[in-house]
Amino acid sequence: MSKPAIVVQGVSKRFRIYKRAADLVWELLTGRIRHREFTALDAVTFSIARGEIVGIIGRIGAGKSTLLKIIAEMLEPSAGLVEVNGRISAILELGSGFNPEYTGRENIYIGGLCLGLRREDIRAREADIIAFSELEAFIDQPFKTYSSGMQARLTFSVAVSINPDILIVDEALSVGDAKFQRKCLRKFEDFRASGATVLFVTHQSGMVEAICNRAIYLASGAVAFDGPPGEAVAQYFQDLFGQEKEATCPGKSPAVEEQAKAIEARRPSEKVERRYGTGEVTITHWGLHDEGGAPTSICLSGATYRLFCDAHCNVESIEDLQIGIGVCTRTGIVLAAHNSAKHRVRLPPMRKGDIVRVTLDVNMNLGPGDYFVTFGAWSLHAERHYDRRVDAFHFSVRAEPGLEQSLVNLRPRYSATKLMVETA
Amino acid sequence: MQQILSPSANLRALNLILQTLTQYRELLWEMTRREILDRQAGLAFGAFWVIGQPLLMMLVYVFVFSFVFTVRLGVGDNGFGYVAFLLAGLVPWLAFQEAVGRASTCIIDNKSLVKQLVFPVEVLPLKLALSTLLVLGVGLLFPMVLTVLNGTAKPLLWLLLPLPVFSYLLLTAGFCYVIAAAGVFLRDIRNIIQLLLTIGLFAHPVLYVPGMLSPWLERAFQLSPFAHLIWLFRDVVLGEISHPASWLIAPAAGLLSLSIGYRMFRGLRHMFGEVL
Repeated sequence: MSKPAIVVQGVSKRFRIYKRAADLVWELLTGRIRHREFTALDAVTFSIARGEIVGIIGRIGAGKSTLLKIIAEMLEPSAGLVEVNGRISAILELGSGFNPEYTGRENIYIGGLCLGLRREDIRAREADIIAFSELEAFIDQPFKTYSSGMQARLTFSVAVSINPDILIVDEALSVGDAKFQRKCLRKFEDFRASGATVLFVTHQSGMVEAICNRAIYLASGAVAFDGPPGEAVAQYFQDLFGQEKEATCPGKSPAVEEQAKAIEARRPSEKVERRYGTGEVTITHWGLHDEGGAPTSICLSGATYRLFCDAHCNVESIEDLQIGIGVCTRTGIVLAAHNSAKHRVRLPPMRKGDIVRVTLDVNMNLGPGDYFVTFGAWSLHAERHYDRRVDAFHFSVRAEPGLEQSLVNLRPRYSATKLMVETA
Repeated sequence: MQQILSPSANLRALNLILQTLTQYRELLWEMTRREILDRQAGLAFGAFWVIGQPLLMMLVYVFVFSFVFTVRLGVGDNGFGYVAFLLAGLVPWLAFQEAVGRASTCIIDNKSLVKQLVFPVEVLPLKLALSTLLVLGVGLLFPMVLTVLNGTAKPLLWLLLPLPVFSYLLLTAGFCYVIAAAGVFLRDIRNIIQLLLTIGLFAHPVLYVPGMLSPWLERAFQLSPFAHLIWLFRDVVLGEISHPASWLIAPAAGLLSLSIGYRMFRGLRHMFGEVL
């Protein structure tokens, strides 16, 4: 078995905070402590294998950047060991690392030399770097005239150009536009395929779920969760938006009960639902009905169904409720996301005990397979998630032969016509 | 003390410096070049200030000491003798002053580099020392030309010039390392260094004609490695080896200064990230 790319063992980092610069001198001279200590990391332990893409999530100040800096050997840990096997390339601070007075092209040179490239190596890669950054038109202008997005692009392009064994990225991607982000993510995939390791910090949980095979959730300097990205994100959101609520279904009708049982039976063996929220509104039950109004969890591709969920108000009054229903594939690709705001449906103000039902009449134009439904109830401006039940409901789609490899059912009419060929 | 002077630790440090030099020679070259060219970037007469400012300083000293105070080396000195003598010591001192004066802020000035990439910070003080070689080289031409005009030149001795220059580089780089590292933590270092450099000019045998000072003071000069370096330059430029011991002391002091400075820098380097 090959050595892990990164081993972090019991790493702690305590910063000394001096109020004034003179305090440092007095402390050195007199030996009397004149600083406060701040613990940024507390006995963090994990190891990352080659070929992993690991996302680090956590609140601001949780120690994410400190951790990356320690791995990149920019900071010394106060305790613990870090072992890194391979060449590191790191983007630790957005848009810096380059001299603002120099042009983009000169910055590529200096950056490359800093990363240990030879002049001729850089010359050979220069065109690729510029092409990747898509900054051809600006490359001979001073770096300081670049927007932060452009600076991030150039930094990223240089950092990945050396084909590092380990790439460390601290939030630099969040400023790029969507297209560039996708390109970077593809680059991560390429790295992973070639056996390199990517470690990055981001606040975009979607990105973590989309590309990481693992996520580490840091809370107040300690590892709160280390494992599958979906679970890490769910736990992070739970801590961020509210405390876990027992799933309770008051006022459940016998029919719904029965349907729930049927769904339960069909569910994959492990419990897939992840739930978080403040609990001011709870999504209590849901279902899928066929055209005749009978509950089902097996659909026929192309037919019409009604998807619904009920939200229950648990506090005196909620004025700004939004409810969304989303459908994902087994791998987490969002196929559909519909919410009341997008559809210009204003939900009625809710009083304690009120229940509102949201229904979505859909043409089940999906290919055969398993699908998961996510329900969410949140406040109008999304500051608060009242209840979010990710992958709460599972249903399958059956289809006529011919759609086996299709994710969606485009309802095609398949035909073939021979075109006239000139034989002259 | 024993630990500081430990031969094995110092040899290891020198070896590490050699490795850094070979690994990052292109980066070092590029940064040195840019240090010289860009320092005045954006100024109307950029290129002029790089060489012009130290040369103007030299002119001021020459004017004051040989025309205002009319200092002469001895009977029969028409003034050229003292000027050559003065410049041979003053030029290395001004170059040293230039490098060391900027060393205190060289890490902070390159904050973005130091914080961003996996950047070899060790090259920053080195590039300062290297970039002053230009001023040193151009400046030394003046006393050499003067000795030729004066008919006292011994061009064969000039072949020895690489040794003082090399010693200069070692000594200056060592000081730059120490001051650069200290400057990160205490920004007052910059002012302290400026003060010490001003005093230093008078505490070294730069301006004084031999025999002008009391003997104990002349002996006290022996304590400063830079005094030996000045004597080396003087011996070569003026064409008379009058300080044979210094030819051993200066390079040795240079090696020691570099390795101690480098070790101190390495020891503190990991803390830079916390302060910047």
